[in-house]
This record gives sequence, structure tokens and C-alpha cells, in this order.
Amino acid sequence: MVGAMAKTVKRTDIDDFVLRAGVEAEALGQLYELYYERIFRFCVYRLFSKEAAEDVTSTVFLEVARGIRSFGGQTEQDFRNWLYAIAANQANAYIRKTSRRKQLLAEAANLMTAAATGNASKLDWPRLYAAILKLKPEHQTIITLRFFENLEFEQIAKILNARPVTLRVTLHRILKKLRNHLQAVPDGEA
Amino acid sequence: MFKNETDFNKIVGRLNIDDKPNPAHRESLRRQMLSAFNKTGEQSLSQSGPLWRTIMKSPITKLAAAAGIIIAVLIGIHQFGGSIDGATVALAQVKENMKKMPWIHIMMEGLHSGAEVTEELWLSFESKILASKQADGRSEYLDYEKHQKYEYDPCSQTITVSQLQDDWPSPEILRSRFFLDKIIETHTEEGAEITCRAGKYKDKTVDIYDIVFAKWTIGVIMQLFVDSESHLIIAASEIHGDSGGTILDIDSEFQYPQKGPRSIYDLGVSESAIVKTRDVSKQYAADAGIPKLVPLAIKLPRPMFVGTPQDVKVPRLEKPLGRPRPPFYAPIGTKNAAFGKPVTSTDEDPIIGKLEWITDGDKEGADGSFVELGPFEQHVTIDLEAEHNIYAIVVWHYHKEAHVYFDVVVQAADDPDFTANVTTVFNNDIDNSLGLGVGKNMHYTETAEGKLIDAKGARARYVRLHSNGNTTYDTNHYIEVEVYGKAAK
Repeated sequence: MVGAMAKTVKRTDIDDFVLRAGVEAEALGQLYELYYERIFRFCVYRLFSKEAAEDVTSTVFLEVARGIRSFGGQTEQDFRNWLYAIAANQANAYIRKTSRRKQLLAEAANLMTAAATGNASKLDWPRLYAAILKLKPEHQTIITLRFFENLEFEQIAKILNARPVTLRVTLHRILKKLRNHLQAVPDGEA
Repeated sequence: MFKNETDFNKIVGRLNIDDKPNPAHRESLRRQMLSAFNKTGEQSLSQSGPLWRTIMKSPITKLAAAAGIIIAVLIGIHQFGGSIDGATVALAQVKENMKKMPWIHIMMEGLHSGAEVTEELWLSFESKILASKQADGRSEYLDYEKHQKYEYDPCSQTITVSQLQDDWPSPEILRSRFFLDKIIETHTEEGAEITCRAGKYKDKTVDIYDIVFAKWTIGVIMQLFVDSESHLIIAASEIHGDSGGTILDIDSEFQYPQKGPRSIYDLGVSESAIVKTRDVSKQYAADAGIPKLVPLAIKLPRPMFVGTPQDVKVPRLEKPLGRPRPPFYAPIGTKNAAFGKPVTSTDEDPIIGKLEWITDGDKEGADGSFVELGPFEQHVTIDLEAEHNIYAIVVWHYHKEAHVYFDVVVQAADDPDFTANVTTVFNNDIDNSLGLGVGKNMHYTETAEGKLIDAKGARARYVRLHSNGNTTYDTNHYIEVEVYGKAAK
């Protein structure tokens, strides 16, 4: 009877890596291999520049190395939420430095100028990035996690410590602002 | 363009984004990460922990301490063990090159304990001068040849002159150096990990030195960008963290001018600043003509919250007074100028309630008395409909539960867009996430007393209150805002 009532949770190999990563370098290495590319891509979408993405990715995984021994999560889901939260904070911190933000906007603007050939309404990555960069850092993170990382609202909610229903409302408003930004003339300025 | 989320998703799916990682970076980072992991552990940090805290409470400027670490790294770097690829030897040469330069000028910006800070530093080994200037105008000029210290306070526009007791290098640098020497001493066998790789810094070809002290929970990661031609440091990046997170995250750029500041006045301090020696204090006469002050009669709602507030982990949280708030004194004739006045907001369609409830005089915490605005950053603006001298602002966000609201910034201005004569009367946005400046005020727990803010007589027509969610919800709430003032003459 106990077996019939007990909830069975199936653990995966990756869940085991998470449990062992706090004490075994090999397990941590496995998690690194699984998530390096995802975090790097997240940083590219958030920071536009691959060079900046490499810097922030480095910071993220070094922070993981320092904090994994005291990390209390037990599943891959826990690890993934923690990892993305670190990545989101580090990317925001990176952009928050004014000089870097201007640099990122200038890079996007240069690429837009270089690619401008006719169809001004065509939406390319530099133009979209410049518009996203005008949003508040938390909103930029939501856009990236939802549309570039394709995470569900429940996952994003855990990463950002928010409620899923709040995120849905917020996303609706963010897209409205993004539409307005994109309909303005893109000049790469903040 | 796009109408909805589905459309936007399709647009994103069609974008051409180069997001392929560099295999060399992947491999290099893996090695660094595992090396950092292997060096952390159960090590006791009783030696370096308190020492680090002592350094960070040092009376000198925050970033000068960190810059002292840059300098101390340069001075003491030859002591490091565990060098790889001759990196230590190469850095020792860089250090020697830098010591030959007449002046080193360092521009620093970054985060310290969550707050943004910027600072300039000038250093001359030859003249034995260390000078610094912070974004708020505070400056220091330390002349070790003359044993004189000059400190400028922009608030009082005063330069304080005192005797420098120590010899070059300064005790601050010594403490930093001692800190590093302590680490090196304790972990001589392993030391710091230093690697060198070629790279770019703003289109310049550089050698990038990665220095990691990751064995201890108080970790230090430093990157030095050394110009490949001149073999001088042109930039540096430092992150200092502990188990609680990042304490310092700063970026620096280095220049090597031929000349540097000859006195504190060369740091931009006005020659009309008052100069005093540390032993002499200047007495300032009380300003005559202060109007008669009387206690404000603030009617409080009945407390709705019952019980003991949960222990919330919020940095810089005000402790409860434990007794009723003492009276606030304001000139005779001061009254609530916000009562019945129009309110606008970033959220024009509140989730609950109406904006006009914010100045309707109803301060109860029950349903039907509070307004709920959307999540994250929001603000409300009250038009007093005439210029007022504002003495106090009292805000009740939501006192039915013991919330702490974040990024509470209260401002007054002459225009509704807050571009003219903007005065910030309260700011607890400690990490400047709103971009309105680093807040120095503390977080507080909501109570039926409301939060009383001393506006010091700010003259304005509009009052704006910002917030960014609270400890329980991302949404924002207002029960009532009162603005105590008198119509300006």
C-alpha cells in the first residue's frame, strides 16, 4: 500500500551529476560540457558581442566553481535555474556599466549600417538587439530566456524569482514596448 | 512588424545570429573552472576573512583599496609560486616597466557591495604621491615626501590637512600587500594561478594575464591587459567575492602621463575651498530667521498586521524603532498638500484600484483602500498644482503585511517629466538599478505608521515615488501618500 501511494521520482544521470558536482570535479566537468554552449549562446543573445559573451561565460562558470560546493540543488532543473540566474545577473551587471552599454549599441549600429541595403523594414539581429537593449535589464533577460532560450514561464519564474502569471503580463507589455522601439528609426542610441 | 508572442517567436526563429563558440575558449575555460574548483574546499578562512573585512572597512576610499591590490600585485607578484609558462617572470618585467613611468593614472569603475562607484587614481613612485578622486567630488592627495595628507569634502567644501605618519608605501597598500602576502604565505606551495594568453583590448594586441586566487572562499580573480609593444598594463579587471556573492567588481584603465597632479587643486578642487588643519574645528554660526516649528499632526490608520514579521533577508534593513515614531517638526501652517490632488503613474491601468485612491485620505490597509500597480519598476507622480516648500512626505505602500519594498526613490521637481530642479529626498536603491543614483537610505519594513521622509523644505510642484516590487510580490502597492508642505511664496 505504501508503494502505491508513494510518489516515485525518477532520477536521471544528469541529476546524479548535480548531486556529485559539489565534491567531484569530473561530475562538475560533465555539467560544464552539457551547459557551456547554452550559457555561451545566452550571453551572445544578451550581449551581442561574442567577445563579451566569452568574458561573461567565463565569469559565470568560475562563479559556479566557487559556489558548487555549497549549492543545495539536487536535480538538473535546480542546477539549470541556478546557472541561468547567475548568467542573467552577470550579463545585467556587464551591460549596466555605461561604457559597455554604449559600446554594445555602437557595435549593433555599425552592423546595421553595414548591412543596410534597401528593405529598411527587414528585421535583422543588429536592429532587434538595439531595440532590446533599450528595455530594462530584467525585461531584456525575460525576452532572451523566453524567445532565444525557449524556456517556459514556470522555468523563467524560478530563475528570476517571479510568479509565472506576473511574467505573462509583463511579457505582453514588453512586446508592446519593443514594437514601439522597432517602429522608431533605429539609430543605435540609448 | 509583429502582433503577438507567436509572431515575435517566428521573427526570432528566422534571425541569422552567429552564436558558435570558440573551441579554444571552451577548453581553456574548462581547465580554469576545474582548477578553481580544486582550489576551493573546506579550507578555514578565519585568517583571511577578518583581514579582508578590515581592509574593506579601511578609512581610505573603497577603490583605492582595490587599486592598492593592483599595485601590491605588481610589487609582490614575484613572490607568487605556481607560475605557469613564465607568466610570473613576464609580469615582474611589466612591474619594473611601470615603476619607471613618471605617473600612472588609473580610471576605475565598478560595483562595490552592490553600489556603483567610480574613481580616479594617480600614482607616482618617483615623487611618492598618491592621489584619488571619487565621482561625488571627494578627493585625497597624499604627499609622502612632505608627509602631508589633504582631504577634500565637497559637502562642506573644506580641505582638511593632516600629518602623514607613515612612509611610502602607504599603510593601505601595505595592508593590501600584507593581505596578499598572507595568502601567499599560507598557500606558498600552490600560490596563485597565473596564465597568459594573447588577446585584444579595444583593438590593441595585448597579453592577457589571468590571476586567480580561488582556493579560498574569498576569491579574487584579476585580469591584467598588457600592451604587447610597450609591456605596460593598459587595463585591468578585478572581481572579489565571498560565499555571499561578489563584493567588488571593477574595471580599470591605465594611462602614463608625463605629468600628474601637483596638489589637491589639480584634482578639480576649488581654490576657494576652506582649508583647515585636523586640530582646528570651525564653528559655524546658526542661521538666523529659522521659522517656528511645530509637530506635524499625522493621523495614522489602525494597524492591520498582526503577529511577528518574518525574518526577511534584505541588505541594509532598518531595525524597528520599538516605540512610536517621534513627532516631526515643520513650520506652522504646514498641511498635507497632496490631499485630493491628481495622480499619474507608469501603470495607467492598475491591476487593483484607482490612482486617485492614493491621495483620497483613506489610509486603511483593507481591500478597497489600496492600489496595485504592475510588476517591477513603477512610479506614481502627484501634482500639487502649485509650487510648495515640502517638509515631509509620508507613504504607505501596504501595511497589512510586513513587506519591504525595493528601490524606493522619492523625488520632487518643477515639471511633470522630472527634468527641471529635480531633488531626490529618499533613495534606497542601493545598486542603482533604477539609474537614479546609488541610494544611501536603508530598506524598511512597512507598518501602519507609514514611511516618513524628511524633504528638508524642497521647493517643487511635483512629487514622484518609485518602487520595484517587494519581498513577497513583484507588483507595487500604494495605500496613501501625504505631502506636507506650504505654498511657496
